[in-house]
Amino acid sequence: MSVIKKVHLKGIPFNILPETLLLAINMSPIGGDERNGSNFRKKVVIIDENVAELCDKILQNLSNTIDKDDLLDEFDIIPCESKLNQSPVIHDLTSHKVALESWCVPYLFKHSYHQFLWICRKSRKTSSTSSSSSTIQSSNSGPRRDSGNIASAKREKELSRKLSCLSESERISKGLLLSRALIIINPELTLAWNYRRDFFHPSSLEALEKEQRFVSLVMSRKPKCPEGFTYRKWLIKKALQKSLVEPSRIQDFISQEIDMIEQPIRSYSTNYHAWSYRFWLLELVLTYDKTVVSKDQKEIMLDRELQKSNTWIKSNVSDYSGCHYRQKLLDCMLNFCSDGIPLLLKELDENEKRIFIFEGHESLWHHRRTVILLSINHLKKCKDNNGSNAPLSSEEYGGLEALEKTFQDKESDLVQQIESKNYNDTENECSQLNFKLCQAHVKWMERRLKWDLTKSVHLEV
Amino acid sequence: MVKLFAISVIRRPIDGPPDGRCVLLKGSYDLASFGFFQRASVKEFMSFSSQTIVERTSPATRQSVKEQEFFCHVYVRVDGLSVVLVSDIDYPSRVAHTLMTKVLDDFSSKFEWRSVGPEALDAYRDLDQTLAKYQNPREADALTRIQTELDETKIIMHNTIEAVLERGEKLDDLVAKSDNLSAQSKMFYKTAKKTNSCCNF
Repeated sequence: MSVIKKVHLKGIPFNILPETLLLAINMSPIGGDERNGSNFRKKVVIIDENVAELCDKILQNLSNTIDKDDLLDEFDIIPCESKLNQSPVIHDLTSHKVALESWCVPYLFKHSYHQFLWICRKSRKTSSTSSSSSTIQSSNSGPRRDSGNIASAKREKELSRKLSCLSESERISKGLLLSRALIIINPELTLAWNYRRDFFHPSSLEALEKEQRFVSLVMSRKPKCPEGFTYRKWLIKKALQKSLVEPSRIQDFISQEIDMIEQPIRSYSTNYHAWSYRFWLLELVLTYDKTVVSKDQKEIMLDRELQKSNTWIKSNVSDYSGCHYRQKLLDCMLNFCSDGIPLLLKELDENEKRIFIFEGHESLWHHRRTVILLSINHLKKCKDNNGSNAPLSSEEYGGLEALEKTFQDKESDLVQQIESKNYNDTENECSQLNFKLCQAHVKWMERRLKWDLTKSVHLEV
Repeated sequence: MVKLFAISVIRRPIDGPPDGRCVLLKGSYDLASFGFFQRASVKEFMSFSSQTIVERTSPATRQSVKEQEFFCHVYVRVDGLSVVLVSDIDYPSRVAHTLMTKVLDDFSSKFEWRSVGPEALDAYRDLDQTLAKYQNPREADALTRIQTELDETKIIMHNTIEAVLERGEKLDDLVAKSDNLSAQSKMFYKTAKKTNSCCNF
């Protein structure tokens, strides 16, 4: 059993807060559809001074927890109502997980968001006084006042009173703190990510790695968040640009990052953003300057990825994003190695096995088509070069022509097997679907590759 | 992903009153892919829906119920001993059903299941092993071949849990009424669908 500890604030424990205040939070006027209790955006959340004070505390508490525990690997929002005298920040010390209780989230978000906007506007103004070309920016921040909304004007005044006493560096660190809280609650907020791009300057690799861990923490809740992946890219570029990583360690650094995004890949199936980011990382290494990353190192990396993606698509049959990644890997491999044909043939064999175990999965058939196309294009390329750099294994199969025939025979074998299976088992829905997919496959081969399999196979296409 | 989440063996009364309660004899779970703070609720929900579906499945029937990204496979034997297997939608359902037959055969050969209580089964670990072993459906390949002609029962497919419920019943009401679900799980049920949508917290 793991121990869940309720974190108390340093100095002021939560039980000092008047109970009525906590009650006020539960009772405060919330408009919108009551039955739809989870949709906080529809609710009108009113933040008065007492609530603001409480939000500040929760915010502080959350940041402290994130700062203190370097091993945190999961964040979540737990749907529940408020319990009196307890901090809504739940920190599991043994397994390093942190969570917020959902009742405080709308208040915390709104409160932090207002403060954050104020800070953003302020920092934009200061930068406009220093640079000449920012007259447009300052006029942009003006109209907010003119809107004549009394409530927002009042809020503005309140915020200025509270925050204007901060020095510039204090304001920036407050902004970073707020942006972190906002991102962790709602990572789709581009403004907050951009603020971090402007003001987070990693001076050492440790600081950068800490930021990477934070993004991973965000992704443990929202694994397919595109803003997060763009930010990760930015971090990697920054690290290489500022040469925070030693040239000899670049390959390790990227491998480490690849390992880190395994988690979002696992927790959300067909996570396209994650897979394309993964390929971006790999490409970065493969195209890196030869003097820094040696060819051997690149090959090791490619090999590792090929193996990993193989185990992945074995157990994730309908994840086409994963298949797509593998196709790109195979393509890279053909350019990199002298002889990729055996691997491609093996790929088709494995795919065939899966087609029989997991009947009726379209992604398997699509993957098959791409692999065939890859192989045929590769063979063509070899032919165009007059066979001068023909793959070694083509000898084994009796030349390039024969090799193409091998691929063709493989397909007609598969089609025959599917056909015979279908006669035995017409009841099964999945088998029927597989049969239809197989027909489509035959049609495709006829159209695209001009392979006529209908002669050898009695299929009604 | 091809994954098995839970297997539970349930005793369904057939002689008693028609609304007799099912008894969950033994359950085994693999919830590592769920969020840490959600696991307890997910577990409660899996056993809740397993029992709900078994109560609404007549003896000697096989059903496969799809609910969002999960599949609940149910098999109630003629004598009322039942098994539910929760998997994701990619797990081949024929393999799942063969596996379930095997689980029930093993279970009834080892225990006097009509009288045994859930407490007596604490040390029974076979279910955990089965769950771990058959995460890879290839393991079950040999099993499938033996069983093909053995079982002629047709598998009834449903697209939602609601389709299994009796007329006038609603899942929301059942959840609200249930004693087996904690308050937090009920809250979780209301919010669960929204987590993955964009710009929502």
